[in-house]
Amino acid sequence: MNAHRFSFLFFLAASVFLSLKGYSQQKDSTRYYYNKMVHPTQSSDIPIAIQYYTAQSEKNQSEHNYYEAIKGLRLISIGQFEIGNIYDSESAAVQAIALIENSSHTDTLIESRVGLYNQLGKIYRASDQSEKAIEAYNLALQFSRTTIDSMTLINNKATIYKDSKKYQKALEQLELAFQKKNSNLHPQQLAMVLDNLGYVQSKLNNPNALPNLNRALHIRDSINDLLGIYSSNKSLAIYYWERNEKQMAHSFANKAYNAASSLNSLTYLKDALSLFAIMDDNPNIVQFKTISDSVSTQKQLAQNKNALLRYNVEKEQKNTATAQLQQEKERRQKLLYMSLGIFTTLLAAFIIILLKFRHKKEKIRQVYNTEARISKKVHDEVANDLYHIMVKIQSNTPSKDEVLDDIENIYNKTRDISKENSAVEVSENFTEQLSDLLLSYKNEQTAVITQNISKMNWKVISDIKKITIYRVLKELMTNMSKHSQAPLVVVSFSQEKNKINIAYSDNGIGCHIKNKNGLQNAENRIQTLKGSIIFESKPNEGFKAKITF
Amino acid sequence: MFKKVLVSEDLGSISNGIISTLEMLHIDNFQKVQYCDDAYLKIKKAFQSEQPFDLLITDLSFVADHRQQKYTSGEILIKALKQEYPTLKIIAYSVEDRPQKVRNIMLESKANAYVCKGRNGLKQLEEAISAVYKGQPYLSPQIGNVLRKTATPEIDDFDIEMMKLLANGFSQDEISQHFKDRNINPNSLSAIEKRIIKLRTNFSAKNATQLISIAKDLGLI
Repeated sequence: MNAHRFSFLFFLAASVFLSLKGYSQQKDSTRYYYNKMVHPTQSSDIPIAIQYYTAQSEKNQSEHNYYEAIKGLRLISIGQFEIGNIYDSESAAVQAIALIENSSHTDTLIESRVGLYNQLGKIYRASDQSEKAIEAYNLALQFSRTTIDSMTLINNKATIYKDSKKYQKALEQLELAFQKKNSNLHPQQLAMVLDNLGYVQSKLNNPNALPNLNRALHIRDSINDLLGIYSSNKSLAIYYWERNEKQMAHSFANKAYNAASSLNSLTYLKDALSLFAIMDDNPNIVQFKTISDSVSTQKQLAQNKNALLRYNVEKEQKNTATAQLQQEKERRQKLLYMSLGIFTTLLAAFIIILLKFRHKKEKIRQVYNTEARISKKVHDEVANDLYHIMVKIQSNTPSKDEVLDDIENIYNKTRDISKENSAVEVSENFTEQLSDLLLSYKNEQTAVITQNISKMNWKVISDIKKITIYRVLKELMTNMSKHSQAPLVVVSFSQEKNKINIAYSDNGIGCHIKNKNGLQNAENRIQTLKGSIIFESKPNEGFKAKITF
Repeated sequence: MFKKVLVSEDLGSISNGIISTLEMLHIDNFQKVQYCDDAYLKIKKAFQSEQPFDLLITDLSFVADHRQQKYTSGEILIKALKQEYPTLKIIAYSVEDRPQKVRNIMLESKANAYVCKGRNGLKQLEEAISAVYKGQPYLSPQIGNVLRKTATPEIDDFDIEMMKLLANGFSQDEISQHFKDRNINPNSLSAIEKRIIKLRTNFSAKNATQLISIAKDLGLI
């Protein structure tokens, strides 16, 4: 007993431990893939993370855990963008936004929404769709609630104008961003805005250009923002180079190169070195730089186009596969319904055939029974009597009258058998027909009285029922005349619509109702028509029968 | 007596019996046929040659054989002939003794007599020929009462109610009053008295007490 309890407790503890471990494992893997996505160290990191998040987000969607699904899709969008799958990135972002729109708690997802629209802006910028990019940033701005977000978004918007050399428009946006400044709180954002502002102003030959560029560098220096320091120095180098102050330009280009070196990034180093190429005295080197730039731009554009094509093909394939799946599903369903229909029809046909077969069998059985009954009667009543006469004539010589009497007896019996089994023609006047039947049993010993027979409406009763009534009454009356010695018979009729009650009653000697072989036939006839017949009799108390249809 | 007689009967032995009866009645001019159609044609021809038959004695049921018949039964033949030649007397001579059938032959087909084949069939046929000759209808005794209406005495709810009241000790006066109160007719004392006497006759009861006793035994009240 103790051992059992111990093992049970152990099991309980173990299971709790395991489930906790499972939970923390899941948490851990999420963090693991998050880091791979956001801070990748190898080229395979991001695709692995994308794979993980795709599975997670599908699972979450099927479980209606939309919050987690949106978060996953956003990370997928970022990852796909990083590895250059612009259209997959767009697709993920759009899907996430659609989930937010359909979600019941849109309010709690504002931060995600702003982020996703910003991501879309980035995507459109990279794929050279400036108008769509602007639109995306505008949408993001609609939902942005913090200064820092708004500043970044406006700045991003301005960059689009800057890229397409719409400097006046870019200036408007950057000034707007600058007005939102809260220098003490967001120095990084402020420096970013100032740097861009200075760049645009310099393009527009605005005198404020240099102070703004210097101020940005100053702020970045003070917060040791290496990336910022690189950008500022690059901007200043270009500023001086464009104003033909070569010495100053070279000095800032060197500073930019130093910053890039400390960033330890090949991209930035290449970018810094390209500054020297622009500023080189040899026109061939400058030309090389311009051409290589335009070649890489061309390449990028071609790549984008190719990516779009590939993406569309993939999407088409996916749609086709879905349609095929749907078709297959419908086909299967159709097949199912069809087979169900066929099965039902077959079953119905089978049942009908079975019922018909049974009905036929029953009919044949009844015919056999009737034949057997008639045969038995012929044997018992006719053959026996004839044999008696034969014996009588052989043993002694009876008088002619005696023989005639005997033969007449047999003659009457054969006629009775014939009449009993002849077809009953239901005539127009069934009351009269019944009345005649009952009357035929009336003689000096027996009086027959009917009750309410003339009030019956036989028209509503089917012919088969009428025939049955006729035959059953005939059997009852024959039985009566043979055995009952009754002085009086009353047959009562009553009717409610097409329901009929017939009560037979005599005051004869009665009998024990044990084997009603004489009446079994009547009972069968009534039961075939789903009616009932009840017999009631005791010695010296008459015989009664109640028929109900 | 009839001068010219046609016998329509498909069984030779029976028609021989009929003929012996006719001979007993000194009717010498007779013909025999075995098919209804032949009977019809013979009668028609005789009428056309102005030597018509006076009497037709016909069976009702004929065994069907290879010959296609227009008149398949005596019943149809009688009806057709009676419509065409109302003066022709017809006697149906058959095994059939179902009242309904007899009534149909007599009333619908309008035969003049109906004789049942049997032990005394020929004797009855002789009586029937004499009766028909005198213009009277004839029926064999065993079916003698089929043409009479109200053959089975019938009782109704009124009779039952009356017997119930008697059983409850009501006098005839009280019964009369009871029906008067309920507006049920008939309710006069004499009518009640008559009904009770009729019931006693029907139930073969010597008095009201025995009537009630019988009705109780039969489960009527």
